[in-house]
Amino acid sequence: MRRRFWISVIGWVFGLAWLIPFMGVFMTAIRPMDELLSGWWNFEEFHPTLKNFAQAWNHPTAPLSRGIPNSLIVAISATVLPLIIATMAGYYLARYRFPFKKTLLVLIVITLALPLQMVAIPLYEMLLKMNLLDSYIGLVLLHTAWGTPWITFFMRNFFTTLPHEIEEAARIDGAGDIRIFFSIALPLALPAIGSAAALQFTWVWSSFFLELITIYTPEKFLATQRIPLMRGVYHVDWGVLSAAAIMVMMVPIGVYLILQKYYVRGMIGWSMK
Amino acid sequence: MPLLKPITVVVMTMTLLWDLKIFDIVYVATQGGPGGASNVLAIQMYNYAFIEFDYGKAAVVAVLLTLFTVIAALPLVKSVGEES
Repeated sequence: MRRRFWISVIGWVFGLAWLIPFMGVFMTAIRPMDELLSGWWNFEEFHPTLKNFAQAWNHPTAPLSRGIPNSLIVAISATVLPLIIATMAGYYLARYRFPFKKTLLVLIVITLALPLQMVAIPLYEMLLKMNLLDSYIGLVLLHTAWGTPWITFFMRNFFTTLPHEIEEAARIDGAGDIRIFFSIALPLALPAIGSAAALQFTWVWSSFFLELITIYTPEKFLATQRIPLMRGVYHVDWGVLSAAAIMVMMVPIGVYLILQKYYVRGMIGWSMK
Repeated sequence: MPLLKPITVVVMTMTLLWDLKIFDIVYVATQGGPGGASNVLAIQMYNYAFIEFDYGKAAVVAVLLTLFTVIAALPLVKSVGEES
């Protein structure tokens, strides 16, 4: 009994320590600058305000009111495209036999390990030659290519946990491969698709490196690119920065809340039997 | 614990990979400074490639980083190989 008490104490301490940075950002965002100088944890004077949020939304050099729609366009297309490709690829890898299957799987896992920096230079040159630099099409293509391997791996792991029997029954009833995939495997895979979508969306939304090397025009900047620009050269307005960070954070959190039902059930995609 | 092993391998490898490849937090917070004290391979590669436009040097850093991450990913690769 005492042991369990101490274990839960340790759990609470770690959990609360993990929350402190978020508390800090939140407090900094809702308080005016002059109160922040003595630290956000100082509550002698406390006048919550939404001014910082308005300022970040209509910032003169990097307004979030344009960054968030831009990010939404990129993140939604770069979530839907790889999911379509990777769900089919994952199904094929889980259910069919073909030569060099194991080699292909190992290759996919190795691409999970590759850093973006490894391919940055050739990708940059390729986009330059294809005239796709500084355009969302190029960026979405990059994210699609980068997301497809891990989603394929994820979906393949999920499909291997599904029982064969339903698909075999459908085959006996005369359904073809494509029919089986769309009418049976795909509906069963919805939890995994939901959880992969949430992860990929968050990944694209918060990605920074690809945007940094491919998007130049200030009007086209995505939300994540705009936050560092809000930091002034001579003086850092932490309130505006925190408010911007919170607003940018809200979108993936919203996606998680919407997909939560699927999210937990779909996590089985990471497991390996 | 032994039953959790497959999941632990995946989670640990993923976290390790993620942190080896870290770029955005360092770039936004310190840009690798002061004086290179918080420099990481990913930042170094970006500086060589897109600030100095020295693709050769950048490629060397990128290959080094890849070597590290592939070594870190070996447990994951092994468990996939064993399974299939």
